[in-house]
Amino acid sequence: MVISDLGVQVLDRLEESRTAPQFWDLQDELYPLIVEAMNAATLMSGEPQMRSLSNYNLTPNSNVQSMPSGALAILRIDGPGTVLKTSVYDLDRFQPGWEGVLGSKIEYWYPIGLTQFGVYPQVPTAQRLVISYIMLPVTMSSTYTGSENVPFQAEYSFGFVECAAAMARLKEGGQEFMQGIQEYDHFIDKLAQLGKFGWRKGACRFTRALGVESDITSVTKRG
Amino acid sequence: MAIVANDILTQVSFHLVEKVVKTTLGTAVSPGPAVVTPPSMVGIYNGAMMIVGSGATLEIITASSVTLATFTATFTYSHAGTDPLYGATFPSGQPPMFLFTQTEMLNYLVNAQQDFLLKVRLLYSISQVDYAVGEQYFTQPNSAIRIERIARKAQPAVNTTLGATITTGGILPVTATVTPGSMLGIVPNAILSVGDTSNANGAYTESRELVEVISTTLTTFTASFLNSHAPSDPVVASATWIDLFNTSTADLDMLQQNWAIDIGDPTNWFQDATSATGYGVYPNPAPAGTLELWYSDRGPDSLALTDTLSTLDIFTPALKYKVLEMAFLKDGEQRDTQRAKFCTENYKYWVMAGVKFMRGVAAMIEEASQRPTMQTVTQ
Repeated sequence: MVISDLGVQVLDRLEESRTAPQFWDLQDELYPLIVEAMNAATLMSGEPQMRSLSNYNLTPNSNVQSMPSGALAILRIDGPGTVLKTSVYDLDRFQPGWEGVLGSKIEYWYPIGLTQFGVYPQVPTAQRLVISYIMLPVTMSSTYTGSENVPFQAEYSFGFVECAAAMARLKEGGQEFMQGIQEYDHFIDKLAQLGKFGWRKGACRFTRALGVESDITSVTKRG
Repeated sequence: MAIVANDILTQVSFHLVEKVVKTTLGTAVSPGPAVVTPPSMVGIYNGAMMIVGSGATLEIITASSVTLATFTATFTYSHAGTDPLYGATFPSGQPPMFLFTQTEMLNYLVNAQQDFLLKVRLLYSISQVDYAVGEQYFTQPNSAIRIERIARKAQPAVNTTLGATITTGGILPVTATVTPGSMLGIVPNAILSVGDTSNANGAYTESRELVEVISTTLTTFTASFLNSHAPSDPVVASATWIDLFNTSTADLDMLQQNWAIDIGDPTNWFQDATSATGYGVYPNPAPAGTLELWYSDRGPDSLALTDTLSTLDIFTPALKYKVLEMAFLKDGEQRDTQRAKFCTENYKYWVMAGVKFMRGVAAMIEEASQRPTMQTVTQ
């Protein structure tokens, strides 16, 4: 499924012509709203998750690393071997003077917000890692062609349509806009239902209170 | 391509039923002032800022001397007539009875971004500050929301050459004393990377190895080597840093009454009793050195149409709703408290989703550093 498949359904919800819409611009207005709905779903459900197909090369002689392209948040790293997640504060406590230390392979990684991550120790060569991460559903840009893939299971799709249609009505104001909020609520309900699958997948799960709730180790919450 | 300020303002324009410029230049131009005839003049008025071109020749131009079919602008780069011309210009009522100006909307966007980064704190920066002997108080970086961590450079980086030939023939390591180009940063127990960093093709060679310094003199160090090396082989190690304990002047007063006159390498940092954006270190530094600051970043204080946003792309809808909230709450024809409230709630939702996501993946640096103890302060 691609964005244009959803775009025409949004036009249907807005009672617009599929071929010559008058009040909404399909490419510049509705496609971005569909992407916005997918972004909201990613933040709430922690999907889509990806295990990097190509190896990530660490920057040698540096603790701080840039995020892999398209990655929103790293979930786990394999080294060779499992690279354990830690925090900068734990390193400060248990490995004073850890910054700048050289080693033959990395043992720990830690997040630095959502734009960088760090490794300990530094390695002198471009060590290859396999990184699992929550990915940005669509590479965002100023223009979407409609051929961008929708990287969610099919059950999400109509939720995106309802969310985009509700947000599109913001410019109408009045009763139409208020009625659109009901469609938005459907979208939230759908994510709550789909988030239940997260109990099996582990790290991130959606609650009706909006947003992911997760732990580094999810096993205790599966039972 | 990352989302830029104009992309958000374009989406805002659609919600506000404002026309946007989306055409081509229509006339080839060279650097300097030129009159152009675009295929469409929709959204173009005297003073409108627009974006023209792409890649290295992307630039912002300002329209002047506007007619029904042409406008004048000064260009920095040459452009073909087919180059894209676009921008969120908010033309309703322009000029002079405007509903919104572009400068106003860019200011809203700056405020929205700073508010979002303050609440979600997803962006962290690391910078270094050199300090002189006795320089105890500092001002945090302009874009810092809050300092999260401070470390002091304990050893400088090593970047020299081996200065000796090492020949190994068997499986046992060879212990040798060498005279490198510089001993800066080389101390006992330091781990050094020794060996070629790359060959002609940029691939790593086999001679690289990590060695631990056994002992040093003023001009030499001794280590055990597994591989053979040439005198020109690089010897490299990054600077090492020691984190400072986060404390307060009140704690220092309690634990070490004469702390203000103590001298040495900084071991603690504090932010109280300094200034609104100040911080200090204890003890009074001697000798001079370098601090490394980790801080949550609030982004820039101004934005141009072509500026990339500091907020990650996925969060940019939050900025849109915050800008819309401000637009709907403004006095005038566009005032609409119902839609403003919806945008407020939607913005809050994005903030909450952002915070929960940050916590969900444990990406937030929010924990205070170790609290001081009598031992750490008096050591």
